[in-house]
Amino acid sequence: MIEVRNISKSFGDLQVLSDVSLDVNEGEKLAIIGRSGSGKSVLMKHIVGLLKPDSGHVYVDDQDLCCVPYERLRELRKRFGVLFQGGALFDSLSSFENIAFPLRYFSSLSESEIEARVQECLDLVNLSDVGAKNPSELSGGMRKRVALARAISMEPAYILYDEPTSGLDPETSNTINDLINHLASELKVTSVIITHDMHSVLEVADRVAFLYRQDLEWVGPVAEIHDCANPNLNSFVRASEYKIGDSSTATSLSEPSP
Amino acid sequence: MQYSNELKVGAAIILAALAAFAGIRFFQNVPLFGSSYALYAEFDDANGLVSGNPVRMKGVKVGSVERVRLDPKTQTVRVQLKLERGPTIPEGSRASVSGISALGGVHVSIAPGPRDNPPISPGSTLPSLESSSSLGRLTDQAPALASKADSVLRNTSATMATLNRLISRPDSDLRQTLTALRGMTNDLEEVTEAEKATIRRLLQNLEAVSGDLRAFTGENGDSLDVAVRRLNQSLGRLNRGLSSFEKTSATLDTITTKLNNGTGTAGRLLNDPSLYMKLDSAATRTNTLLEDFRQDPGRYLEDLTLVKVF
Amino acid sequence: MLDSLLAPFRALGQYAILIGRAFASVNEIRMYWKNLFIQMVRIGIDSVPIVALAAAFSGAVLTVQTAYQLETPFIPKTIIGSIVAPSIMLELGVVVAGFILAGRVGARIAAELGTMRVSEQIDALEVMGLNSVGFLILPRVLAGIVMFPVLYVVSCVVGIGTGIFTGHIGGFLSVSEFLEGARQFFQLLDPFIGFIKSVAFGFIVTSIACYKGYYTGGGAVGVGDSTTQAAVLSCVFILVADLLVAMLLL
Repeated sequence: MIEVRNISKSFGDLQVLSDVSLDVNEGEKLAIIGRSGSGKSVLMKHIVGLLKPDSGHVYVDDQDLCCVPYERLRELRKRFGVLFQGGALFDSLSSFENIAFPLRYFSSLSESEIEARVQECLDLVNLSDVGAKNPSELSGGMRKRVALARAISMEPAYILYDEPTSGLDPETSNTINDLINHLASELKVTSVIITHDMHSVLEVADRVAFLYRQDLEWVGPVAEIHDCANPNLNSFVRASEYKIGDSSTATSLSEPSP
Repeated sequence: MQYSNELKVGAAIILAALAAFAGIRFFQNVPLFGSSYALYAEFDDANGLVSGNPVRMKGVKVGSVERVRLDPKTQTVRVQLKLERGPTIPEGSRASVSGISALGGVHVSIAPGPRDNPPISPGSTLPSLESSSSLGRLTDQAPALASKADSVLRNTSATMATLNRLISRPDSDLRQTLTALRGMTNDLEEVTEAEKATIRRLLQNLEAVSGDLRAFTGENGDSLDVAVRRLNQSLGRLNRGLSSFEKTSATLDTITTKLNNGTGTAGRLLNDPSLYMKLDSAATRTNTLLEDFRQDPGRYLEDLTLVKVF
Repeated sequence: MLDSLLAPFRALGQYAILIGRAFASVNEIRMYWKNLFIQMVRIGIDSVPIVALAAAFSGAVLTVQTAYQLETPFIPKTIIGSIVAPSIMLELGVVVAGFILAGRVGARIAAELGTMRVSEQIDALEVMGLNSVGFLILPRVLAGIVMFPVLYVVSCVVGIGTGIFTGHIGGFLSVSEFLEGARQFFQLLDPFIGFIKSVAFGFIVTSIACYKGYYTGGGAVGVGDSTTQAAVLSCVFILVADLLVAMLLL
């Protein structure tokens, strides 16, 4: 159970989040959507304690991330698996070593057990034979899947996906979406998906939270997204539907600008 | 073969530490693992001596200066020297600071003591060369001198005893020789008396010359002309002095000729072959006497009550 | 206006806190043990050739130029040795190595950490529950502190060796003349100060590079900026530290 309570955050003069509250229930798949720069990634970084809110609190299993000592925070973070936008694989290590990395540091598994666990994770993401390759030798979709395998290797309770389908072709996006669904049902994890890909939202999410500017404007089940009263969400959904065919190019072009 | 990172790093660190150690020992100029020992020296003035300067004995490097310190109590400079094993430094050696510090050639030089002396023991202090009195130098030589003097004195005392006995006999040749020698000395005295005036004049001239020279050096404002003229005058006087000296030596010459010809007592003494023969036989006799003495000391020493005690 | 005036102080504070956090995680060093040795090899052993090359040239140049400047019959040739050897031990060996390493090691660390920052690898480490500061910065700074003195020794040995060799080959002075001069004015303080400097430079280069890399922002341009600043700031602070050590210990 993750509870976000009234958090505000600004970088310098730029207000990114203001008074945002959100609950993530056990076992659900929550999609956080919004336009680029609406504060989705910032919200996600608050959930894992990478950023501290200017005001407000984030509770993970009833512990306040803002106020626990660093050592406790590190323990809490082990309940999370995070799939970063670019995968964030360590490029000095092979795929195998990337997935084994958290196991080596935080589990008491023997080398053969680690090997077995890594293979298990690779099988889960349908990439059984890339263990020896370096991240630079992999395609974008494969990289994300290896990163996902790394995220689940420590059997987290929560998996956070930061733009899981951005920069991928529609077919690969679908593979990822299927994977998210598969992991949620297989591992019984709670998933938080940050995305602006409406296709992915409709495929995956149980519930949707819509961020507009700095505010959380709408939260509700995915079924109600088409007939809500919020004009901003309506326009967002409509824009996505019109461009659903070329959403990948639209997003990939919008990304590099800071 | 693949080496582990730990091995590479460990090897690198150890190699560097060894290189640093060896390098420092190398530049400190001490043998890598060899032994050295410390000596101390005291000077009135360090003359710019600093640690690392070489220590030389007869121009050969035998060590280096370890530390230079001014002793606040005695106001002397106390220098610690680090000497290599090898060339031993005999007791009685003295140290001095030589060289010019501006040119970097300043060093401690050790004037070694007598060769026969035992080597100096580590940790002792070498006295300074310049501050030593002749008495001090003598005491340094003492160990070697003492043993020499000892043997000389032992010989002398034995000889003296024989001589005494010889001289006490009124008819001995030695006594006559001595009488002749006394006469000769008288002759020489007469000669000296005769030439006394000449010698005095010579000395006076020399004095005047040196006086002129002193005056000359005193008036440093004089023109070169005056200086040269004065120098000429001085040289002229010196010349005259030398001619007087020539005369004196001529007189001495005639005396020597006389002596050679056998005129005068001294001459006779020198030219009389029988005297030599006599001295020779005296020596032979002394020899037999000593031989006799050695074989049967009792005969000569029977009068000495001291011997009877034994 | 005030903000830009305060910026250096803020940066210094941020830097101090970061390095403080790195050293605070020293109790976890066993966890980063492997990483520490990897960094020691990359920072130290891989830098040996370039440091040796730079030291060789500086030793040779110093000998030739000293010989040229002292070409009068009044000064003994041994003085060349007395000047070259302490200069390398005291200053040249360590500062030249420091500059080389500011470029080689500092830029490398800043680029590495900067890339990890912008590609969210640092966040990934944190989210796994690793202390990214301890994991990334401590091994690099420790490796710098330990390996720079090793490189300093390399620099001195090669520099003085080349100096002797050049003096001999160039006909300026013989090997034994050089050694006599070097020994005459040798003081233990010279290599000791060089050693202290090398430790200081090792800390400066690695910690500044880690700071710049760790707080990189803004993509490829940001990584470029961090890399440049790491190298430049390292050089500047090497000079400052050089002066400070000289003033404090001489």
